[in-house]
Amino acid sequence: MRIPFTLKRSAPSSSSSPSNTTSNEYSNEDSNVSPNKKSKAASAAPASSVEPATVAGLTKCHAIELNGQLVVPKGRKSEGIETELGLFTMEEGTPTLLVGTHEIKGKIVKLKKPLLLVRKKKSSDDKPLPVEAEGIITEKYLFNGYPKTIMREKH
Amino acid sequence: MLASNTILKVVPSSQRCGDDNSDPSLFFVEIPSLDFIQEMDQAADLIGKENGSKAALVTSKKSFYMTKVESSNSFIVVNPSSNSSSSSSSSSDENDAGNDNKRRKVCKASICPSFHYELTRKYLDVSELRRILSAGTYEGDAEECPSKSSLRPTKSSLCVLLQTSLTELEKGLSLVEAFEVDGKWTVISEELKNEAFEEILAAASANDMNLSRLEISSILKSVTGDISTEKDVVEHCLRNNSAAVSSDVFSMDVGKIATFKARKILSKRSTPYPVKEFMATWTAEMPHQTTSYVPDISLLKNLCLSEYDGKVSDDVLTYFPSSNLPLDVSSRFKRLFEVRECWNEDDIEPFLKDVVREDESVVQILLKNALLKEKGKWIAKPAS
Repeated sequence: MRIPFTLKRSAPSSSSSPSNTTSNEYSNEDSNVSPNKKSKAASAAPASSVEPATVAGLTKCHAIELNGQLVVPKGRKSEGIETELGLFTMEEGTPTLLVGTHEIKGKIVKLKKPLLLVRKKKSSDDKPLPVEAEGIITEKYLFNGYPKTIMREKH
Repeated sequence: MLASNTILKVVPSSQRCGDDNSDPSLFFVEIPSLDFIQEMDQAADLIGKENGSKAALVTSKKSFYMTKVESSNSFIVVNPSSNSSSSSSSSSDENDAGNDNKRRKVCKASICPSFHYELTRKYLDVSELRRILSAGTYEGDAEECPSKSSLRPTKSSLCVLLQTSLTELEKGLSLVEAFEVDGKWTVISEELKNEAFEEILAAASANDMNLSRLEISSILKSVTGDISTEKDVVEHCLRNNSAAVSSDVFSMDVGKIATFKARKILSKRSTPYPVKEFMATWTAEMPHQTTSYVPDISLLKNLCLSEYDGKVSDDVLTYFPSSNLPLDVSSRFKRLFEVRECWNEDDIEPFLKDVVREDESVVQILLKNALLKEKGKWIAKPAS
């Protein structure tokens, strides 16, 4: 059985945003915006449209690796409800993830070999359609530290 | 870089069981380098097998096994090209004192399976290719029938059967001297090949042709006998035993002529052949156009066994062609050790070259299938 493996190329950065990209408003770090232009981008935020970074023509995706399993609150999984995982922040080059009342510090790890993020598509009659590489991952945010319980102020 | 102050949201998959919330349509593939993407751009396919063995990722030039590597960690991926953002703070942000002025971005993330596929280089199994092609061996036009034709694969089906790239397949087809019949591939029977080769040499000799500059058209006109109706076979034989000087002129390989003659002499003899006697016969059998050429006994390494016979005070040769040995590696070793209990590495190597894959050496195959008795000497592994 032979299944085509295609690559989903990002649109050129000078053209209008691709049809599947809604406008992104980046208030701070944005790989496509140079430091000098940050303030301009912030003030023009509602109207600006920034193309995601690409590597070898593929969209550069962000990967987060966590120890253990992600357990979803009961009921949300079966209903397919969008669930907030947590808040990601970067301070002085150290990524931090705040999940509920747990704070986990991590690090940026450059991958020895790139990973392709591949999506397989299936038709209604279960016949396999081409698989497509949607993006590429060259580094990951690894959160393998012991989570710290923090107190969060109630309002 | 993922922006700081990003709220990550996930949609757990309802299609998975238990605590697995990952999106079943997503997976990771680890590629050797960024340059590999260019290779995939030209052509890339996933080829699976019905028997459930490893799938392969095949480009136009190379093929790779896909090996699943599990992890106990969770993976979340943010794909910037399929995300929207919100600059307004959600109610949960209000818990962060001092961060009220920072604008938060909301990103949708996907929960990916906790495994990835690793690519390991896969090489064409030439002996398996030979086995597949032998199923519909070409024995002459008179022996052709629809059932034989149905056993012959096309290049495309061979790529799927062998999970290999087109470039590797074409190299393999050339190595096994594959023969094309109506767009499908097979091998020519030994008998027919020998007949064709004999007639080419006879025609060249009868017409005093220069073996270094043989024209296909002249040979095709000059061959006689039943083989004269098998023009494709004659041309195929000429091409496989010569170097091309131009598109229709060939220089015959004298070493291959010598090997052919040796095989013919040895196969007719049922008793061991004293070397001196054989060399005299062999030299006499060579075409008159090669009078200055003295055949070298090293050409017979995979054709016969050589042993010293005290009765004739000379080494004697026994016909034992590697082409008659099983294609299956373990069966081949069994046959080799039936003939001889202990082999020198130099002597056994020519009989293993047909079954050694591109990614392994003769020593590796010996280590898997035989025991090292002492340096350079191998014996059979005891039966388990």
